[in-house]
Amino acid sequence: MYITAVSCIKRLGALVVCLLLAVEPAAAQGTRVLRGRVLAGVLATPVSGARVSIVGSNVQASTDTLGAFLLRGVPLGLQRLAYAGPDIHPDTVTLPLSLDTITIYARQRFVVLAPVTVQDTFTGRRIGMSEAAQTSTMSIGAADIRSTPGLLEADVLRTVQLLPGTVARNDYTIGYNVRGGETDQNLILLDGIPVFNPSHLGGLFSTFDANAIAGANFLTGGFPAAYSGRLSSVLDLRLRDGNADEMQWSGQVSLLASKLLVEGPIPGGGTAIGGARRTYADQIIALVSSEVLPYYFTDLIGRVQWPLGREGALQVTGYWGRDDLTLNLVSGSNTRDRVDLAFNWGNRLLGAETRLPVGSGRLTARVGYSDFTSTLGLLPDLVRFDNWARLALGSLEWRPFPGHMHDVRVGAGLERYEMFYNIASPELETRFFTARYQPTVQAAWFDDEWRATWWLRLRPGLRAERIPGAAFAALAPRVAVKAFVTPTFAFTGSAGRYFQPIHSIRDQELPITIYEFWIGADGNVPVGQSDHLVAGIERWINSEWEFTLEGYHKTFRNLITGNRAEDPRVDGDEFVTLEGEAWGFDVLARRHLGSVRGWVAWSVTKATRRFADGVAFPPAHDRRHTINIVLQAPGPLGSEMGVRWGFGSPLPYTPFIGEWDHRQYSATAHAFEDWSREPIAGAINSARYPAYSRLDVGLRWSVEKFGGLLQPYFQLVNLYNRHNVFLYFFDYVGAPPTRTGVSQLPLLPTFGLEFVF
Amino acid sequence: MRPRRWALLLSLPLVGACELTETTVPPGESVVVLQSIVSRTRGEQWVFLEYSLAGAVLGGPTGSLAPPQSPRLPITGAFVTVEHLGPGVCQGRRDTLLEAPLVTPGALHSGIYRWNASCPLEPGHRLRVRGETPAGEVVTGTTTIPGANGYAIRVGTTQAAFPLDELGMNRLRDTLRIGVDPLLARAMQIEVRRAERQEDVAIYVFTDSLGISFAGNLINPFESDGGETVFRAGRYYLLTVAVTDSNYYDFIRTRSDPITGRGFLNHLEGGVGVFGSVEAQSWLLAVRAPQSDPREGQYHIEGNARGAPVDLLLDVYVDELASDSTSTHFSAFVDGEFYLGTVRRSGDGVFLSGTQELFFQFDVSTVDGVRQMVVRGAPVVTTGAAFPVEFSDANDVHDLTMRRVP
Repeated sequence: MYITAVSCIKRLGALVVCLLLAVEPAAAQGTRVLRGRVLAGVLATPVSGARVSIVGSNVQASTDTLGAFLLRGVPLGLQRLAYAGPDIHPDTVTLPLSLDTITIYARQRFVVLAPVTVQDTFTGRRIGMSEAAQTSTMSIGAADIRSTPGLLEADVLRTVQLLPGTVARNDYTIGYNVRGGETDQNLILLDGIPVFNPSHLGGLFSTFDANAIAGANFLTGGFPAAYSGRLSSVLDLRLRDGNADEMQWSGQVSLLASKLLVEGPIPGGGTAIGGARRTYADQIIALVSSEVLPYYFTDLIGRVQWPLGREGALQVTGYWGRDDLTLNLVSGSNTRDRVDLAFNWGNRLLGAETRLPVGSGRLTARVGYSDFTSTLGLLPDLVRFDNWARLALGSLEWRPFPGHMHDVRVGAGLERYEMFYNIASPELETRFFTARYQPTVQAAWFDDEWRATWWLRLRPGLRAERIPGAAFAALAPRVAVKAFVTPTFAFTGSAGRYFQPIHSIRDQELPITIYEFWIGADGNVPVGQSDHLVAGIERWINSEWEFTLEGYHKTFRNLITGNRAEDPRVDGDEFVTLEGEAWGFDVLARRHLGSVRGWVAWSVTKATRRFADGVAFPPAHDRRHTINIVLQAPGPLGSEMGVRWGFGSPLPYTPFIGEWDHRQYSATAHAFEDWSREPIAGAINSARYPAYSRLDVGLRWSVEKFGGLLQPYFQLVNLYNRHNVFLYFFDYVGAPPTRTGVSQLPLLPTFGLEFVF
Repeated sequence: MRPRRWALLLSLPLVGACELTETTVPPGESVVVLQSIVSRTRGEQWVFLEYSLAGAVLGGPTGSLAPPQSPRLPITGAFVTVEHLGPGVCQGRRDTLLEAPLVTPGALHSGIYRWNASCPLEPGHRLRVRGETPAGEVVTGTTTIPGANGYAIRVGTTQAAFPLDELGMNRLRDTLRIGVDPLLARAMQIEVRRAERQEDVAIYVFTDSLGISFAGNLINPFESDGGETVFRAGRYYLLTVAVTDSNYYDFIRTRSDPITGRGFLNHLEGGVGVFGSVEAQSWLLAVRAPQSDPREGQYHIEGNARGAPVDLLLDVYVDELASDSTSTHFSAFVDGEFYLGTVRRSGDGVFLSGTQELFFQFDVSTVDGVRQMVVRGAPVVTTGAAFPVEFSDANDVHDLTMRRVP
């Protein structure tokens, strides 16, 4: 297996070389090469995904994330260059005869809603429809995130929960399930670096300051070869670049937290943006009373970027977040040690990416470090549970011919994980549990965005992965296809194989995700695998309405869940494996322009899981129908209004058929001296909760005051106060027995203020 | 500062977010529950047999110590046997268990089935239990008796020589170290209880490490406001170490999750519960500490009561964690003689700051049961001069004198 896979990787390398040779175009007679960049508006920020073309010819290209493009085969003589792109007004310019480079300053298509620039993404999506074969991709911009009513404040992951293909199991978690997958199968990237557990306050809020986010691409299936590591989705978040012209201060005061964001130009021609956020309930309570609220969370986020040469760039992204709950139980003295009940956790991230022109192509190099640490215990020494997950990564990707008919990417990467668990009592001089996982993932990929004909777009790809510690090596082919019937109507499809080298052993049946407990592939822990098959249609009407329908089928192999029978003395029995499959379809109708914008998403899913003994059951996220309607429209009293209505068909749960007294034995008395009532479960997930629905409305006003822009907002979560069931508790002690339902969020009004100066 | 109210404050948003509704649901399914732990060093063994709570009938109360208290829904009239699977001389023997006499008024039987391990149970012996209910349900389970090649119980530099040996422990200096050389044992249960009041649990720990240590100044942070001293000076503690089989290990380390209903590891066929086994040994700890408070030290109680001389020596130790501005709690060893005979116990008391009063009580076991003796006096004199105290046994009050031993 190992030898075969290594051979495969070598063969893959040869294949890549062959393909590169095959797609290298012959130098054309009477043509020239044109390089350029598309920058948007007064901030001169790069526009990615813009389409540039020579009027009257087939020469065309798309800009990358730096706004750069390269056109080969440009006819000599006076030519006009047409451009259109996300957030810019389409236009044409005359090409200078004497220059082979051009910088286009496009007029930006946005509405300034400080503190962030609110952009619609329709043009990018529309061009993506024409250019990209990739399926199952949805882009959300800052405006989508900020205008979607949220819990206390805007939250990017809460917005993702409303996209087609996702299931949010309840109001109390920002976790989501994508097309029948578990929550640990979602890769969340911040500027290309994975974040292990992006949540605060027991999973109630995400770690990302929505005002610092420029946008996100959300891939729910069939993702291309450059992405790997998770089976079900990729959320690729991008931080804003920061204001290139002047220093800008913005912030927010909400019922949850206060935050401040600073951005502006920095020496060297670059820009920087940095923000800090902290909850303040603990400080207010300490100020006005003698009570103590021993919890807070805080985070810092930032990004700097500099241009390198004419077309290169260097960007550095950092994040640090912490949740801290520390309660003093015993004060220290000369004769006793201090004891604190402490629970803290958080993520750290540092990543750097540089893009350099190499020959006619572009080289992208990325290095990064991401970790998650958590400590729970009676500190400092009575008993403590320490857990960390670390990832160091590096990758290189070369795009030899960006903008050509074949836009090839060839890359290689290395990921080094380390997960560690330790439960010990220094005071009792004993160690209860220790485990360590250290998978290393070596990968190489080839990806080609191939504009085969006017009506056919293909995206073949191949990824090779090797995990030496798990004796694993395999190839993961990927392909996406888009066949146009008309310029605005296409059939789409994709297929691929995906591997996941790390898993969470958290019981995925539990409705709350404080955070995931990650373990990595080794000799005992298998590598998860999923095969995706996607087919659908995409249709645009009047360049403002987007309709997509995608059906899918997924298989899952080597999923794992915690093994409650594991023996702490035995390594490798901490889990049991599961298999499963999911199928369904997602429907999206989205209006990108007009006074009323938004989308309607309808997702249908049927998911199944099987234990090794053949017992099959629907997983807890097996929601058959999910509907989300998200609208942005003018509201009353001059406000901008965001409305969200969601419906979810019943989710499964495991009913209880009774209870028993689990007794506690006293070896001293040789008798049972106490007991705790425990449930006796029926068949796994054989019952279902009632259906879910919720209506949220948010209003936002903009007022220029004190030389800045103030934006008060008011939100109503669960406007009609529906009692959506969160979970049930059963009581079989009495006769007749009873069931108590605990609801999700009730009607919850929240308000806050954003400002920018 | 009232830090414990943080939980209320923290939970306010979620409390507001929770709409609680209660509805009646149909009765569930009755499951036979069997729970039995065989203790190798005990003669009498027992098996609990009951039905799970399914909501069809109202369950009765269940007491704090069972046996003798009955389960809520006892299965009476069952046929319960324990078979010796060997090895050993009793291999093949099958004991039929007798249902215990009634405990709950109005009930015919208790659901508790007893047997006496007349055959010696040695480590490695296997037992099989079988219970058949009058309704024909059958539950079975097996256990392998655990044991130990030796126990290493050390306090400071002193190692216990034999079971029930007494070890002195200076709580500010010493560490209790427990080590077991297991013989077919999977884990270890540690219990430290007041010697005179075994329901007063200082430590109840379960570990599969077969070695553990407890510092003498250990604090239980979850008891009282600000923690509670685990080993209080002036007290006797009974240390029990039980090595367990794998069934009991799984029984105590797993629980069914209240949300998913999964998690408990059941090794019975036809029912839920446990048929496990342990080997338990006990030792006595006498906990002391340096005496720095002027009220600490030895006090002599003397006089006559019920026509007999009273000659008791109290060795008093103040507990810092249990004291506040109005009262100082202490524990004391009691040695000496009075009308109930020779006594060697420990008890608890309090000095009241305002009145300088002293209250102290200790239990004495007699053939009629446990009797509580109370010493009360004021004002406490710490200079060595005698001061009057009342010595009471229920309503029988005697006037004695007490003085601090210089």
